[in-house]
Amino acid sequence: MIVSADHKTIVLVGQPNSGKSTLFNVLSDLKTSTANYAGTSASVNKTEINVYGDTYTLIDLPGSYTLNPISDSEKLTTNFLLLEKFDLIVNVVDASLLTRSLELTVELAEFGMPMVIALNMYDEAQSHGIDIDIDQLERKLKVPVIPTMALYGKGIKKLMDTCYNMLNRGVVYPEYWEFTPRIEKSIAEIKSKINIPGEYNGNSRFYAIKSIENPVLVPEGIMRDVKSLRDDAENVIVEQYGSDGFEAISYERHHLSMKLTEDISTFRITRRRKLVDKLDDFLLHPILGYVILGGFLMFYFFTIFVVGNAIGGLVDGPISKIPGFYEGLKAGSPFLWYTINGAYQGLAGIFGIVLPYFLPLVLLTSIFEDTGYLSRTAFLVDGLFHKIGLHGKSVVPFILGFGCSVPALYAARMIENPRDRMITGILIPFIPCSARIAVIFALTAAFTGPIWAFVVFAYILIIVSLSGKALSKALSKPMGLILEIPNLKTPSLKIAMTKTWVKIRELLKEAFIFLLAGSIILGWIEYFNASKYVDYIFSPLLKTVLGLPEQLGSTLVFGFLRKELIIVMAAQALGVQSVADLPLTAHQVVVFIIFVSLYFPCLTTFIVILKEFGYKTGFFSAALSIIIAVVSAFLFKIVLAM
Amino acid sequence: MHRVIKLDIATKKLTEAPLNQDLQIVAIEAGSESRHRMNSMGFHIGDILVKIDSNRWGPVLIQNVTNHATKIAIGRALAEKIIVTFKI
Repeated sequence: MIVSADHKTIVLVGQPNSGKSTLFNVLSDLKTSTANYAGTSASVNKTEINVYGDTYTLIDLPGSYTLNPISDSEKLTTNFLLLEKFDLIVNVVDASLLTRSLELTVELAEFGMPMVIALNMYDEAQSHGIDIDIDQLERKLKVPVIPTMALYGKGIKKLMDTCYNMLNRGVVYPEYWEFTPRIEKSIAEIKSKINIPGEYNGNSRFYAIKSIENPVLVPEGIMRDVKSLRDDAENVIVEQYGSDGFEAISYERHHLSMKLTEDISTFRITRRRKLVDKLDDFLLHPILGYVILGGFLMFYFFTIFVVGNAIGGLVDGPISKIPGFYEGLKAGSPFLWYTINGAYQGLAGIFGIVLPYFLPLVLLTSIFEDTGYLSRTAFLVDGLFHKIGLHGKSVVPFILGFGCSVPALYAARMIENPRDRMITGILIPFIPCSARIAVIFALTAAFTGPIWAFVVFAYILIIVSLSGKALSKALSKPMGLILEIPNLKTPSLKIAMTKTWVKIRELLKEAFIFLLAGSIILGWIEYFNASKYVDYIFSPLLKTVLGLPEQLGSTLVFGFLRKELIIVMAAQALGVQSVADLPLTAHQVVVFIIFVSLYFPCLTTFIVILKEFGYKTGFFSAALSIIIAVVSAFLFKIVLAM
Repeated sequence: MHRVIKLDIATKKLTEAPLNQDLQIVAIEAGSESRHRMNSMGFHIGDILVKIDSNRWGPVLIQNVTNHATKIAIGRALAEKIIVTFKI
């Protein structure tokens, strides 16, 4: 349940990059929470705001170009508007992209629910040479229009005053604009047959239009009544316009919004090219663009590494003191000790390793996301990613994957095509995260020299490419890339910090219980000395297939909890003090590294995959990684023995 | 006396069209899903756009002049299905 019954609800609706989320973040505080919507992985941001003593629920719906959804997040927005109870729409319009933004406004006016327009980025529009007659726009649409600059908090008070007045003194409904007479005639005919089911929002004209444009959005009951009329209407459209119903309506709205823009704004040609456009000449340059991207990636990793290390160092001391507090239990009540220690290991992993890297990673990503640079990187690497059957949009999750798979999986949400999102989600666990990089470096440094670290990395990249290619071949062909490159903007640190906090809380909330339970079970395995049974189970694989000591079996189970534990556990399992003393040959170490780098992701990653992609994809991803790990390690064993 | 009228309009795929020049969309020969997506993002037949950047294997970067919109990157496969006319 997203909407609470107690308070009136305001929903923010706008196109992607319209500044809707900035507006939401300016209005909300840290009480913000995200709510998942049934059947999708997309989520909405929700908060409660207090205006002159009244509490309202404020909901930030995912950006949507139209109410004809394609991606999961757009489906959420449309479904929400059609079916959830709310009191007022705040349509956030990007004033600097007036014509395109108004296409959604025209559609919302057809929808016919109470509405206020926040004409956002008003300053940017003026610097683009667009002067907007706000009174005229109000007269045309019959709803209040408030100019805002969300990033600087300007116009926000007036916007909230307007919402307050509307909700207390009576809401106003927008006036729709008429299409060409032939189409209006069909709409009028269909409209007369429509009875909207009680749970649906919107007016009958809207459903009449949708029955021609996008029938899947129309409730079945309505479709039954109007089927023959809408088929006739579409036939006429095909005959007269040479396009299907969807396109014809889209063109109608396109013309209406162009007409509306013409009526309410004047465009001055500005001679001066803006600084952001000049910057783009460098950022998107066919050669310089890649040099800057390389520099950016180095800065990005370096900062995350240094800051993550520093935070890790800070929390490491206090965290490592915790076992001292329950040490006394070990002799008296060992079962309790193993239970607490299991929980401790899992929590130490998330607070000591995942969070220190997660924090700078999410903060930095939020900042760069807000500047608009991330979509430029997607543009630059799109060609390269095509070679593995994906789009440039997957680059961000992949980069994040080198830090930690968990934020990478969350970042995959930005990919709207479910197929690409799934492939990216399955590939992410193969990208060596910082914990696995640590294992690779520690073991190669002790046994084989750094050259093998490169061999391992190169091999993993080949695996990622081949798996990507194979998966994309197996699945249907994706829709071509259409990626908006929003104007460059100055980010706000405060907003980035709010977003970071919300994401961290989301991670803890979703993974905490599972992680705790999983860790405690591993603690019990230790208590019941079940590791020898675990070793026994893994023996055929480790000893026979891979030629490794069977005692490493339980190590792999602990590696599932925290991959960096592998080194400590391997040393413990084989009864030595330090990594270098492990009774393994250099060849065995390489086989072992290959196996641990590729097999099953860690527990937290697995849980997040299940949450984000569902059980089918989660178990498929796990099975695939185990198969690839076994085959790869076996191949290395054979090749090295030659 | 006859005057020779020279047709100075060319029609090409977006991938082959010149950079930094007004191009008018005359057809989007892609599947309905991609076509609808283009429509939703503010691209329609008749719109004027400018191709800003493109290399041999990457996506094509365009800007819609008709609605003063932002830049949009279009995958190469899709860009090949967008037909534009322009003055030569």
